Amino acid sequence: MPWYRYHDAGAVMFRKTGAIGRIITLAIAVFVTIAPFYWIFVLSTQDPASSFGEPRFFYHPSFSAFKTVWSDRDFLAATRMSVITGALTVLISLAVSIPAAYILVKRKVRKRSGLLSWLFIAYLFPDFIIALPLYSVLQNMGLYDTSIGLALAYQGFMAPLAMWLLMAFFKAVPDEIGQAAKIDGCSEWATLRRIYLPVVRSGVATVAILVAINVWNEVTIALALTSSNPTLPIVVSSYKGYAALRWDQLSAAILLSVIPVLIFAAFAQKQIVRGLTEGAFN
Amino acid sequence: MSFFNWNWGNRFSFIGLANYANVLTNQEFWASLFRTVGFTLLAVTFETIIGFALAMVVDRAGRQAGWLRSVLIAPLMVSGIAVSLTWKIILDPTIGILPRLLGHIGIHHLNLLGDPKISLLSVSGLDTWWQTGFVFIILCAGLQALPRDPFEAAQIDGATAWKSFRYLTLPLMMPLVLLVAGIRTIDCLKLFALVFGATGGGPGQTTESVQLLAYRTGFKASQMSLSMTMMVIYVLFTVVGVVALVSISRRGRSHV
Repeated sequence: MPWYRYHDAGAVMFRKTGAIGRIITLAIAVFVTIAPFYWIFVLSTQDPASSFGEPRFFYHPSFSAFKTVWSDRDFLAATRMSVITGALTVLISLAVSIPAAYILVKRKVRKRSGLLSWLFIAYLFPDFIIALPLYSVLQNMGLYDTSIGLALAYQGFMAPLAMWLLMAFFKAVPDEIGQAAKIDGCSEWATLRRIYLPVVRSGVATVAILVAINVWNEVTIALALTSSNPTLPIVVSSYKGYAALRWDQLSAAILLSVIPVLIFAAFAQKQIVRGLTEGAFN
Repeated sequence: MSFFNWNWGNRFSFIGLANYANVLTNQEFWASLFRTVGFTLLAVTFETIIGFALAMVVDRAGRQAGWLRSVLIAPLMVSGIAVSLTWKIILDPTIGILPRLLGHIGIHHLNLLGDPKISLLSVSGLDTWWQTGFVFIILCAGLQALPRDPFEAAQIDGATAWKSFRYLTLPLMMPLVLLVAGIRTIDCLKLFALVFGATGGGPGQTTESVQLLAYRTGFKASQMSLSMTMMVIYVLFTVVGVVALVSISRRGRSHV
């Protein structure tokens, strides 16, 4: 053991209590996060009438509500619409904002702060105020009620979000790395792709997850810009029903609607690994 | 549109600044403005502190970090309407699971969303459950991108965990923390889906946010131009407020 890792008994004690504290914190956080999901699952596998009695934790689950929702054609169509829209939005916003954020951070750009404040104000606008003009623009372009139209409309919110986060991540990378690459004869584009992107990889993955999640759950603009091809949240909230409340189907729809984006996030998580970035800083 | 009088019909009439005078003297508007700001302060404070703490803890969790991250951002993936409906089911005083469980341990008649005294706090709590993952996941990525050298140097010099947090982690992370808190602030100021689904602005108007008031004015009371005026004034307020905050935080940083 190297000399500087040597601790006296007190320090070891402190570290042990620290570890226990961490575990308790995590256990509480995980419980609080999961418990509502569990309860929704319980509701979705019970007869709606019986779930209003005393809560039962042991029972024979029935998955008929899931079957009903999954065979609902509206639900499947909306899932497809949401997946396509989400993928397009993530691709467009990353394609635009990675080079833009890189140049804004690493080069001197004129009117930089002006540009950034415009992005800022675009993000600040409440959904309602943006939805109305976008409606007429998309109608004129023939993109109303399509996933590409919706994906373009979302850039108003998602491009600024992606830009800020990516700029923060690019800023954290020391300039020397890029300069060294320049001296070695890399073009601007190659420097970005070969040097910076691997370093900020976890940042890019984080941004992709956040953009996907935001789009997945967006309601107001989707409501204004689609009619016969609604996105998933709209269809899910329609399970509230008009006449009778079907808690089981609503709960099943909520749970099913979370799954695709959960898969995407788990996939993108894999990119958030330390190994690749480690070498670059040393 | 805010300079006209338009109520969904074909008739537009120019009325100058009358809408603005109307909104600015409207008690409901000011009340909803203060309410939204209060909600934002509560929610952003909770989310930033909890999110940062969890990011620190998970960053040290080693091989467990992957699934912990996935679990802790799960609430983010539920849409606002679904979150509000979920919690409405859970917190409902007669059929909800939480009041019934609390009843067993002697806490009765707890109506978190229906009690006008605490409803705003409860809605902030819902937002914290929902959006803490946002702060958490960004700060996780930030913590991973921190350079290792200063921390190793500090350890060699015998710095305690608290000292290396206070003098290394915190200053290095500060720009990202401020950025995330800023984004959350703007999102919270746009509060709509949560109150729309969970409380509908009630009980009374104790949780009515500015966007909800504008929605009610525009779509329910059919005064679209008045609603748009509210939004314009609100955007101006938030722009001024955010610019002031940014310049204050810049000045604060240059002094350090």
